[in-house]
Amino acid sequence: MDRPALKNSPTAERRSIWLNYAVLLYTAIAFAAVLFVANAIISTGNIRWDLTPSKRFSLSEFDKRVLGGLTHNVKVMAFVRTEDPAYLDLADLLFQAAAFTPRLTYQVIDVNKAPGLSREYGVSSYGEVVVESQGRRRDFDNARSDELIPAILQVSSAANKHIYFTIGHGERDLFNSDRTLGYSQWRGLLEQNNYQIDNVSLFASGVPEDARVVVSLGPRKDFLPEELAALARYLDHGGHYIAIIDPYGSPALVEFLKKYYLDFIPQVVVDPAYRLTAGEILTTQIPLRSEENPMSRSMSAPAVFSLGRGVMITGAVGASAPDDLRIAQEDKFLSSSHESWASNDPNALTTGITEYQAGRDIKGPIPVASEIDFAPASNPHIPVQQMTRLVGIGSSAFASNQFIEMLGNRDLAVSLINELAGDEMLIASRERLNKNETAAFYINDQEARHMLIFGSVVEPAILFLIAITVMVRRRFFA
Amino acid sequence: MSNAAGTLEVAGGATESRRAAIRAAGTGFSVGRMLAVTRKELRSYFAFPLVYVLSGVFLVLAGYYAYTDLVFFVTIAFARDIIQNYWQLLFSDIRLCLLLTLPFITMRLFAEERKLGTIELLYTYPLRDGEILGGKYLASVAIFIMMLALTMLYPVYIYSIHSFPLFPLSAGYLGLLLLGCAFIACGVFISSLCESQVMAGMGTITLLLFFWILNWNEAAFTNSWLALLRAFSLFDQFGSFAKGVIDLDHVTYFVFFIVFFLFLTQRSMEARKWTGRR
Repeated sequence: MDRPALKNSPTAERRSIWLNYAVLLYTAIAFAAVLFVANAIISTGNIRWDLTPSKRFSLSEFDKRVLGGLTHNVKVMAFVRTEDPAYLDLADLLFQAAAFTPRLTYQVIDVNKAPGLSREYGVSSYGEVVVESQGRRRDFDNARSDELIPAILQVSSAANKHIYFTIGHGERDLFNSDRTLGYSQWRGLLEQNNYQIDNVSLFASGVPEDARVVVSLGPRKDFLPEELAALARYLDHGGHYIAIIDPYGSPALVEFLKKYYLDFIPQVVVDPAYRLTAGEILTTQIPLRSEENPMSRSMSAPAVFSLGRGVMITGAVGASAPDDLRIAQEDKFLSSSHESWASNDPNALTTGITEYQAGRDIKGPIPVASEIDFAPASNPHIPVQQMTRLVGIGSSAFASNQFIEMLGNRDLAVSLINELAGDEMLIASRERLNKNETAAFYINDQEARHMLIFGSVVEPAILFLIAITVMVRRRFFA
Repeated sequence: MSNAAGTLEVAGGATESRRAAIRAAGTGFSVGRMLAVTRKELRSYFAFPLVYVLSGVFLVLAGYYAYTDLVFFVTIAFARDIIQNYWQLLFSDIRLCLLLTLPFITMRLFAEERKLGTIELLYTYPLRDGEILGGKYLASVAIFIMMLALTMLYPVYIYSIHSFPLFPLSAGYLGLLLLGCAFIACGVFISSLCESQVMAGMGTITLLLFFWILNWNEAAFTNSWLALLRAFSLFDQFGSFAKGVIDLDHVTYFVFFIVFFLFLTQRSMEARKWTGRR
């Protein structure tokens, strides 16, 4: 509002000026306070428009289902380094989750500022997140903030899901933490998904009643007939079995699986076109994936297999298997490339060098991971999860500590179990997280340089030219 | 009577005549009069080389970042996830270019007029303070939008090579628009306080830098203080736009920031009537 001009004495004028300054200051502070409070009220609403194609910065339907279904309080403590900008994404996710459900509370703690609390929780590294509920606790790394919801699911869920790994035949050890030969990372990932991992001797006790999935991980010695009988009984009762067999491993088991139309061929798969950069031909990417199968669909990248063998399916849908089972569906969900072959060269495995020979070798693509689902002949239309499910993988190395973090191996190793255990929600979560915003694309050097020239040279040059013209006009023609 | 008091009388007299003229022209805030000021400001912007030079400098910097970020995206980020690895990076770099160029657009708004003595002439026009301020602010925003529009060459060029989702990009540009408008509001306020253009430009950069580095030293603050400082940081509020997310509270923060600095500018304009300042 306009004020009349001041024409008082100098003293009164000064007093009036100070008064005006005070009023100005008061008004500014009051106005700022009103705006601040209004902003604070609006920010509690958590209203946002996520314009990214996969809505990656918003809670997914899966996240909302998990959070909405919480029956117990969950406490999340994120031990971070606040200087690290990466933690902002985690903080944002925690804020959204807490805004969605009152059952979740969280605290972001700077490890450097709260060393006592960090020690109390046994946290030694930056970025560790602790999720607690009902006396159960799960930790995960900040770098894997996508694991927040599975971790919440794990600590809040009462279900105890047993996965059994067979022993006694030289199988790989899930409790071995050796950097190359161990499989402890896979066990850790499965435990994060709330699975209880146990070993089982088929000879001593058969398959336990509570088994969700039974896995044979790289058996080298033969199974005894009694063990195969126990396995057959398990399969007859709708069991879910994953056979991961390396080249020349456990011939008796391979023979047993042939009855179920799963044929582990002895030849090793070589794929020079997809070998790792400057690597051997026996360790390759697996480029062909089925988009129909949830296990391969959830992978963020191709798998990497080392010393893999082919896993063929020899029966068609409707083919008859032991115990009056019939093939209900089958899928070769991972295959090597069209340029690959299954080598019969005895030197291939020892030297890593071989050439394709027609007549001796089998031309690719070679399936290296296949699934067959069986239904009883008397009831062929039962749901998939009630069917007998058999998955064959032609190499155990993909899930080892050495390989599990490579490309899509981690997704495959976890999704295998999720799918056979019937945890579709967990698979859906992985699929969402792994969905890329756009397919990768390449811009060559020339195109990039064009952008530099147009953006940084041509466009500004036009403006500089106009500036010079204006200057000259003003100086000489004004 | 002091020189300042003399000025006060002149300004006061001018106010009286202005008030009468505004009464004659019609009551209330007039958008037409404000747009007239905008047109006058734009004419003076384009009549001098400054705006072209600044836009050119801005584009040199932005174009350089667009290229280097593209090289980073293709080589280091393996050309995957264009939103996170390219646009997010580029938008963050462009905001730096804005920080370095926009204060030089706004510095002249009041400071130059004050230095040339034309401010008194402006105050004698039958215009309300709000109309003068709105007109000048809109003119600066128009120049800024022109500068920003020129950067759209980069997405257009990349899109011509390979398509990508455009919606996240629009969120980023909305963020840049709000951020730039906030910078301008801050610059207008500082310009209204200064008589020297250089002082106005440097003052604006300093104030904006303050808002930027507000929460840089996390070690010095507790978590609750840090959250409060983050809420006030212009640059942290921009982060979600660059990711392709429009957060209502971030939008309102920018709007309130702009409103607050325009409010302060108007108070500063009014203060001339009782401080004796021109």
